[in-house]
Amino acid sequence: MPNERDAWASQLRKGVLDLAVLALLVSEAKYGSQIVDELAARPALAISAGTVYPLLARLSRGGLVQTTWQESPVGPPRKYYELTAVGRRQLSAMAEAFAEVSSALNDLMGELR
Amino acid sequence: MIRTLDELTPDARAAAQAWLDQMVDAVQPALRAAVREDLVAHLCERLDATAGVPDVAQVTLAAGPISGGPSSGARWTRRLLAGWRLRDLAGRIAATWWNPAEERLLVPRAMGLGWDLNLGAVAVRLGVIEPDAEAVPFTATPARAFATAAAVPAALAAAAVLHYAVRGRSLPDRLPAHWNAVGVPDRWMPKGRAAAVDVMATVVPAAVAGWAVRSGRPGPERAGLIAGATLFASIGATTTVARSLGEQPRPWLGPVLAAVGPLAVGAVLVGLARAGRAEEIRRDLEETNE
Repeated sequence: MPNERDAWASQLRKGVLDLAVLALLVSEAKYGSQIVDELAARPALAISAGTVYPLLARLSRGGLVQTTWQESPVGPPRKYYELTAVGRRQLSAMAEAFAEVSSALNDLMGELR
Repeated sequence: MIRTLDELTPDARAAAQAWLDQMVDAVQPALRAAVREDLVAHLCERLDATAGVPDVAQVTLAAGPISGGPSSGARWTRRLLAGWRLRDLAGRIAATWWNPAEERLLVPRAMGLGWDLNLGAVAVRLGVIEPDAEAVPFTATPARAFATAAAVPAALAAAAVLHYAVRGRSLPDRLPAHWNAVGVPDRWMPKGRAAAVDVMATVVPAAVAGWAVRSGRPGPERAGLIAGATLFASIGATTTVARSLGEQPRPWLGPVLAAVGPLAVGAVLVGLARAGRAEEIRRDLEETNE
């Protein structure tokens, strides 16, 4: 049942996408295509640019990230995204909730392994 | 708030149980236990131990009937009607015709049924703009860019007016009103009426665009108004040219008439979006340098 598995995995990805993008920004500011590429480098989290950009716009409108254009060493300036204080708080709350769910699930699935 | 329905007075509990039985009855048997549990939680959250029968009635009435949402018929009606809403139509048009963050080229229309071309996605594919140049397109676009964009429908209107003013006398008394598939005129109208139609079709949009520039409306709304005005004015101006071409078949006329509008609108929206992007960059880089 590869299709059902893929569909379910895709739902799961959508549910944690906010967390994934916020977590990518925890150490440093990143620009849009860099965020898309870094997600793509993790196949389990790979999501199309068409999903990532509207999400970034939403996070920015919600005040979780702020954007700044910066000169690029190659080519035109780039728009960088960085976490705001609110974004950081939200990220820790989300990470905590995710850890709880994940540990409960791991507990439940212990017998599977 | 209470923890179980047992905390209620016997009368209130009986009323709550009766409501639960009635509600759960409407649900498929496999789901009854789960739904009942949810409804009990709903009641417990909203009632306290002193609640009487009227309080229970109030909470249960507010909960409404259980159903799977509106029927598909009602949903479709709502969706159809949503397509004809007038509220913020200009802003919706701008968001439909220019949504660079969205990858799809065809998107549901802002007004009515069907699909429109997402020129923002086209621009991203052509490398003209980044998908995230502005979080909300046209919010950073400066006033002078809107004034420049509104000059496009104004120029088209001026061209149509000049055309009839200068060449009007030398044009035949009747002008084409319709063309067949190979671009041969198959319906005609008097010159005066054709001129009036073409002048109106370009001057009114130009006036709307001019008003939009000075209106102080939000950027997306102004962009939508100017884009719509450009579409109508470009169709009007192309028709003006087409009417003066005579009776020879011109098979390219149809495709040109169809392409001019989107091209003109695309150029205007690219200009506005690039101006917004430039303004954001200027602001950010100046702040960094300060």
